[in-house]
Amino acid sequence: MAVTYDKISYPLIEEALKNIINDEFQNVYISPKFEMIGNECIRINLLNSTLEESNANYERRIYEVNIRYYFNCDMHQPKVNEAVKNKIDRLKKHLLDNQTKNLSNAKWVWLDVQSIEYNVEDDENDDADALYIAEFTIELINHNQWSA
Amino acid sequence: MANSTFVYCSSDDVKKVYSRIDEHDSKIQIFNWDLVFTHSGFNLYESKNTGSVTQLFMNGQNLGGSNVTVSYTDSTTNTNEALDATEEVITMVSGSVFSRGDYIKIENEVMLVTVISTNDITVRRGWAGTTAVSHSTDTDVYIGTSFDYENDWYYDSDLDVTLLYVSSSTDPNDNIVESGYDWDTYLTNQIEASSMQLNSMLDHSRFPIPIPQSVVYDDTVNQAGTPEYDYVIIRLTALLTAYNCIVAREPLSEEAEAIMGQISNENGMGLLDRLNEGTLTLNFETDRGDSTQGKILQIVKAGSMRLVEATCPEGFYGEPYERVQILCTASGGYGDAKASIKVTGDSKLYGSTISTDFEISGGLQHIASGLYCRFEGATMNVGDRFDVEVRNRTLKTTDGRLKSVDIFRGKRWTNEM
Repeated sequence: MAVTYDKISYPLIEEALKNIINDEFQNVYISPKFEMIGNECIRINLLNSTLEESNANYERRIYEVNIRYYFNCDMHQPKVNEAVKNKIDRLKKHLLDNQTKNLSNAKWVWLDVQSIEYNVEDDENDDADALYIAEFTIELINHNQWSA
Repeated sequence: MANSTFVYCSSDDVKKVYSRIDEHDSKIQIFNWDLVFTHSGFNLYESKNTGSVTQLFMNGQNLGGSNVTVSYTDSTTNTNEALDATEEVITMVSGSVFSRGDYIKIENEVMLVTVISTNDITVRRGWAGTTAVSHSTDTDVYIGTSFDYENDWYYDSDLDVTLLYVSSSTDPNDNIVESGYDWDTYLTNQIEASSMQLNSMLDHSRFPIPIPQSVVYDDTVNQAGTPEYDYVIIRLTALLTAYNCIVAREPLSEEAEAIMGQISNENGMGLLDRLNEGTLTLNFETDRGDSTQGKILQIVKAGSMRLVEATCPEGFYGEPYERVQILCTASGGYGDAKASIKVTGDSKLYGSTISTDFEISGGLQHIASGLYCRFEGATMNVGDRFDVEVRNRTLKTTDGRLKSVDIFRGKRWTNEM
């Protein structure tokens, strides 16, 4: 039997975020795997979704998305450190400027930047001293009205 | 041949060997752009301590080399007041000859014009590595350069400052501004350097430098095969290029170390180790003097029959070098298929036809001058063609791997001995 369903997680969450971030930032991509693009890039990765509320008419889920902002730079230099932090703040502001979306290709009733972890050190930069990583954890609430 | 452009492999070869090569761009990002002035829809930004910049990129777009040059000419106006060493607003006889972003020079001091208000111009003193000093009134003022077009940029080596003139809607801090080289040019340069490096790493007592190209397999009608480098040489160059590109940015990279392990390692099992040791041989080294074996070249094969064996049990006694042509003239299986046989004659390859209806039996058949061939398969089609390269048995067998060496006695011979 054919299952009629709504495609949400990729087109309305991940791809929508990519398009929005891409308006203001360079080298944005969606992937669970890290790949360095240029000296600065942003990776979007959907972590999970949890049910907030549902009934016969709709389902409301919270999508947790991981956004990593990568910089190939020398953070020992104060001016570089400052510029990188400014760029991270700029990304946060840009996300908050898009706190609600109700479009055919982007849909959430709320977006929160839950946390920003600076200077992330893990296997992605284990072998690359010059790679600085800032990790955003954001939550988006998608309200999906069941198709009639 | 210019050594500087000599290469053993292409950019594509490098990508095939190391698919993530594009991640190892050499560009350096320039951060922290400070606004110098804004005027008429354009902003001039500066970034300090950028290091030498020969090419500038914004969001990957090559802005090209700096099109701003400094060359001082008389502005035709003079100072209209005496200046001390700190004053930043200067009254000129006429301010109309100046533009924002101009480098101006009064005596030996260079200044950067940031604001113009009628005849009063605001400047940055002691610019371009010069020292701010006092100046008398009515002193000549020279103009060195100006920023006229969007994305004009200039690297001031005296100050180690990069200036970038952009539309007022563009903030370089919100973009990726980089100095460095165009990626294709950089990669080509790295391949050239790695080719030279490989030449230095090869055993010179064994290999001619550079390694010659050779035709590995020629299945063309008129021996028009293209000589090429052995794949092992291409791969070694590509691996060296990948290694060099990675360590240029990350000298302690484990990935680079792993790549070097493929090239050379302590077990002597790297490609280069084995090549220098002789357990890997290159095509040009392969002995071609063996007259007991023919080299089969399948030129055209529409039918299912193949030439599977070409041998000269007693050695080939024809031309020193022969390329025998076997061309199917009648289709069919064993006993029905027929072929013409051509060898060298009339001063050219294939110039002599020794048979026009050679019957294919399926057995090991004598073809010409001690060469025997055997076919396998159901049918041969008209037009199917097989060539066999073979050499005369009088040619001495050689081994390209052997070289002469100088040998000395333990004691030098002298008359006293």
